[in-house]
Amino acid sequence: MKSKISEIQNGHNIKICKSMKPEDRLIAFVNHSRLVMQIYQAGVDFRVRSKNSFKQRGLYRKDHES
Amino acid sequence: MRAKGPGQSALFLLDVIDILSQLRISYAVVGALAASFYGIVRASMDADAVISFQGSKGDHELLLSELMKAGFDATRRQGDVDDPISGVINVEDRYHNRVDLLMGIRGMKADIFSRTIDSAFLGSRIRIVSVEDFIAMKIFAGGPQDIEDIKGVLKVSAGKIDMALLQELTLNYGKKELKTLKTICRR
Repeated sequence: MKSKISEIQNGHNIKICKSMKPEDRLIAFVNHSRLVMQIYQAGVDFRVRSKNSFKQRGLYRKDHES
Repeated sequence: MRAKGPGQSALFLLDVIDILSQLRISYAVVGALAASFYGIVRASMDADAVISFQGSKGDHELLLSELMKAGFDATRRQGDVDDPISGVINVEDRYHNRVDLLMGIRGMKADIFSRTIDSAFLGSRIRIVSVEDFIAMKIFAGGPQDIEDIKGVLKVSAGKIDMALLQELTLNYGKKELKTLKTICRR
């Protein structure tokens, strides 16, 4: 897929990364990974809560897991 | 232990590096950390390094026992004869932060450790694979993310790459890899 918007976004990321020192990009990596993990964990928690809620209301089906 | 929760594999890597250094095991940080160091910052749930026991105090058995003594889960997997990775030690802490220690990649020469870059990182020092070795390894790996990492490095750190060395190192992995490098550089 070729997208003008995506290209602009990529250009923006490149500009930011170029303006940082390599050591700073390592710190950005640490923070970024931590945030991504938090978002992932929030998704896991949400799915567990939804599953329990469906179960309590007798609406749970196996295909809710996919 | 530096990691205080999940998603902190880079901090966990520092604990593992302490043990590697105690045993005088050569290492070079690769993977997403190196990709971020030279190119576009991206997230990863694990940290990777290549290691060599040449000139070290012991072998993989000693390393495994020291890692476990430190309270980490450590398992070793041996690659098949035709596997380009000869072996890996997977290390995990109690938060499931993971560090993969690769014990040799086909085509990778031992002098990779003499070209590593020493960098400050969260109050410690780490040795990161050279940009030329990084690109050559990524071309050999050849996956979509690997190619994206290379493109990022070429855009962010283009002026810091020794192109003659890069071609030489890439050729160590094969002629097909050198052709791929030339194609990527032309874009």
